[in-house]
Amino acid sequence: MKRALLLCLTMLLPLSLVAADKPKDLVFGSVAMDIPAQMLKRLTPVIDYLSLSMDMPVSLRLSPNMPDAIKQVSEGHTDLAYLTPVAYVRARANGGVEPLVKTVTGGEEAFRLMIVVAEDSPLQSVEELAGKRFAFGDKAALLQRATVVGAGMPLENLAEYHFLGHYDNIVRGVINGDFEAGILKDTSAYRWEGKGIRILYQSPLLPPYVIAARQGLDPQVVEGLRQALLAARADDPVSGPAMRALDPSYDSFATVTDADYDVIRELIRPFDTPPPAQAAR
Amino acid sequence: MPRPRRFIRLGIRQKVVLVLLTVLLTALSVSGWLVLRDVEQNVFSETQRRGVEMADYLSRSLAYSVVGYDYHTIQLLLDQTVQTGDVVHVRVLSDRGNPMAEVQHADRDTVERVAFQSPITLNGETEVGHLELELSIEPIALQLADQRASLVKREILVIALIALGEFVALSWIIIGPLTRVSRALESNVDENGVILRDIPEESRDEIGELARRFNQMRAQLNAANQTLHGRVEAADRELQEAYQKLLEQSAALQHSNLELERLSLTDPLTGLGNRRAFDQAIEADLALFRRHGDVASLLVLDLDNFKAINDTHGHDVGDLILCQFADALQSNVRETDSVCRLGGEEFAVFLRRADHEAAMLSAEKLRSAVQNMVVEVDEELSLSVTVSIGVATLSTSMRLTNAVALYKAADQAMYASKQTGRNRVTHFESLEARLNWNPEAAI
Repeated sequence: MKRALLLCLTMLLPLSLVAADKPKDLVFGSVAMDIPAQMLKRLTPVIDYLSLSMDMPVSLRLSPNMPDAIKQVSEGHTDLAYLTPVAYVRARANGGVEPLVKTVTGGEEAFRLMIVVAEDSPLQSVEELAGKRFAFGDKAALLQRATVVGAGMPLENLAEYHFLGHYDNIVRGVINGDFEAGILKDTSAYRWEGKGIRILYQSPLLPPYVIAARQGLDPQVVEGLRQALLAARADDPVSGPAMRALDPSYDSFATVTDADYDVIRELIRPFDTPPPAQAAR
Repeated sequence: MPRPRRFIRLGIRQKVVLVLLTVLLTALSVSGWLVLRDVEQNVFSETQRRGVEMADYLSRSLAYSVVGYDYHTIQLLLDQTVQTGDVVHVRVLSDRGNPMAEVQHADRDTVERVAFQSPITLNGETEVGHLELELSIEPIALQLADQRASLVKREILVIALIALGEFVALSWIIIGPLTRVSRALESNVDENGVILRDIPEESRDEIGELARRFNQMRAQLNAANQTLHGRVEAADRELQEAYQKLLEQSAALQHSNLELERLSLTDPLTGLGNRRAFDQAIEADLALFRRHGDVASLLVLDLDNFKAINDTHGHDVGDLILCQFADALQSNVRETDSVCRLGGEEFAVFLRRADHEAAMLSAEKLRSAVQNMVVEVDEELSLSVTVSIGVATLSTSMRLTNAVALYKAADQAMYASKQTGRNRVTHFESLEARLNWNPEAAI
């Protein structure tokens, strides 16, 4: 009986540790925003800053793609992760991750995606995109396609669409006429507006990148991380290098709630509808 | 037509070197031009090959970026392409013909270029875009310029070396020996035209041969010169002798002429002057009379009955009488008077500066002398003769101012003497008074 009780206690112990453990070190994960070398360069100052702030070692674990990053943080292999809005929504749904902070760019805690056409294009509405060529950025950026669909243009109504990777490519493709329209982040759209680009459609305000903690991370650690990140400023001597390295356009981090990402969930819902076979399963 | 004067005199060396330089320059220029043309063709074909290869390689490198519309990567690739190598302009067109990226080299927008084009295909099948590439030929031009400069330097060096070598060779082989020959010829001929010295025969080449021939010619010329000198001297002597003879003949001729002159003026029998000599002798006196009034008189003398003497005693006696009569006249006139035989037995005496009275005295003296003259024909025969004399004195009033008038007057007076008995003297003026002489009618 004692042996059985001991066995039970032994089996329960890890569960209790998972539920609220205080790790000796932290593992930082990230979606693949860039090539690995560039990601390492951008995130190393961040983990250095967090390590300093938390007074514990923080290591980096880069994922080759977004699903892997979601999986790593959802399954607790990474303690916190730098995630896109869609990745956060997925990780939240899959692993109950807790949002720590969201990024602030140019003083804005949200952004818009914009459908753009050439400045001299005859297109005046989203409906006119039917039968036209459309340029997206990264294939993994589901939010871009979701925005187009959300604007009322099903992808299958387009003549064809291509994923050009960078926003610069989209701008060039639209300006030179290879594509009748494309999608840009608001900052890029404003930069090119009047220089060959015209904004056709603006998405609603969308929450930006987020840093989230895995489910079950020690609340004190979570709070410590949140405070450390909220304290970071681009112009701060201690945290500044980390902020600027992560993205030169970031000013700081802001508090975030899961509800901020409901708009994302709404947008990507058409893409989350499982096929009939999967739904049955 | 006079030849234009030359201001630049070129020696053999300069001429040969000039011709050589011209030929070399032409030959090397043609050769260099051919070499450069070959090099240019090679470089251009190499550039063509490289351009085609580069366009092909770049097309393959760009294929995935073009098909993925990765303008950014295409731009980066084109930027790198232009930064390295000779590409001055490159442009990628999409399958829709739109320019996807274009780069023009900032510093090479004006350089000469060669254009290449290549389709951009995916796996060599589907054409997804088009590449336009322009390669600068500036490196080619520089390379050609370098080669041209190098060629020119080489040509100049070669020409200079050959010209120098030619100059030295000419100096050593031709000019030196020629100069020695020229110096040997200097002052090599004496005043007689004899060539004094041989010129040195140092070499066995054409110049040595020339020297040998010259020396042979020198011996021949000297011998010919000597012969010629002998002939000239002989001819000179002959000429002098002929000249001397000519002088002598000329003197003899002059003497003969004088003698002939004398004979033409002299009566051969009596040795007195004849009528021609008499006319010449009194001509100047008549002129003096006409000019200055110097008076003179003429006596015309004719032996009385001389024909009878000739007929009786023969012409030899007559001639003897004439000769003695002439001597009597010569002996009884003044030294300044002139005596001549007018012909036959008629004689004349011209008395200078003798007026009427003086003439009458002289005439009378002569008449008397003749009358007293005895001609010893032989031991048994002695003859005496008389003479009738007519006198006329130059006179302006009586218009006796020339030889003819004076002679006619004297002759008229002489006939008057004959008519009045012979052996007497009659002055023309006495006749005028008596016969109311009219000179016009008399002449």
